[in-house]
Amino acid sequence: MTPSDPELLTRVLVADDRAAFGELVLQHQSAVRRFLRHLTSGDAALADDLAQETFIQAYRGLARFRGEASFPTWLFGIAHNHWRNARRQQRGHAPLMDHEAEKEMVPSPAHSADLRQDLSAALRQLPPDEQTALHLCYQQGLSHSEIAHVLGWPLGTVKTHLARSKEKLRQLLAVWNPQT
Amino acid sequence: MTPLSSEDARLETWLRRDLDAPLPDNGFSARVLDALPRQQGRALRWGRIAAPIAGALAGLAFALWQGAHWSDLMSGVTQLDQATFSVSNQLTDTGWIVILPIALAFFAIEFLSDDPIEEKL
Repeated sequence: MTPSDPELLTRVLVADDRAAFGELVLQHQSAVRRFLRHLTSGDAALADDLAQETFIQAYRGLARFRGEASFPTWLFGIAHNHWRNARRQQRGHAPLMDHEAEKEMVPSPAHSADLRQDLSAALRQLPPDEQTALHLCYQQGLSHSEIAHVLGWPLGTVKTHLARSKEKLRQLLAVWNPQT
Repeated sequence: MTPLSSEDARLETWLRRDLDAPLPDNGFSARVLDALPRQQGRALRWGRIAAPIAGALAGLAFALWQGAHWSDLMSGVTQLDQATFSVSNQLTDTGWIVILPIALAFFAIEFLSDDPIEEKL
């Protein structure tokens, strides 16, 4: 049976058990890397570098983890900070590894018959903050309050972003709605 | 179910579609473990606390082994206390101004230098 996060965290904190930390990395690497790939618009190499820094910083700062949020939520917060710092450093040096620029998209099931492609294109039309809120909510399964914790937004802002983005998606994907 | 809620549910299903596609580790965890810093900080800090205590206990044991009595030890402590008091009385304000920052710096280096990077969360 896989040990729970609190068990593994205790082992790391009490006995400086690196193998236990390795287990934590193994359990959460996918979620953290996927989140960072989302933030870096699919730049896998950069996302993995940031994910590695995220886990290293988590290891260094583990004593400060108070358990107010779940461990993965805490990791997402560190990952988001790292991405923001990296983006700040890159500004003025290279093209931003920000979300892709808005693209024209006309859902065309008749031509592509590919919902996923249309959904991806529709998502790319949303502002980055709305994309991130949607990702954390539906891809990572975080609650609204956890998203607020990770991104440092008020809860109301999270709810507004989610409602607004879903409304936009509904309009953009209207052709996929059998009722229209 | 209203048309709006069924539309909502459909949209949420689409958005969750990739949820069950975890990324394979592909050596990522091993790379992270290799890059982890040596956690000397915690051990070192405990060592810094334990070493003076162990030294004091060793000194006490040695004194007792040399035939010292409890009263001798207490007298030694009193002498030390008096010497400290006498030195502190002789220090001027300038002396304290020099000593206090040095002492504070020492404690800051001793107990804060290995602290991890402050996290917002």
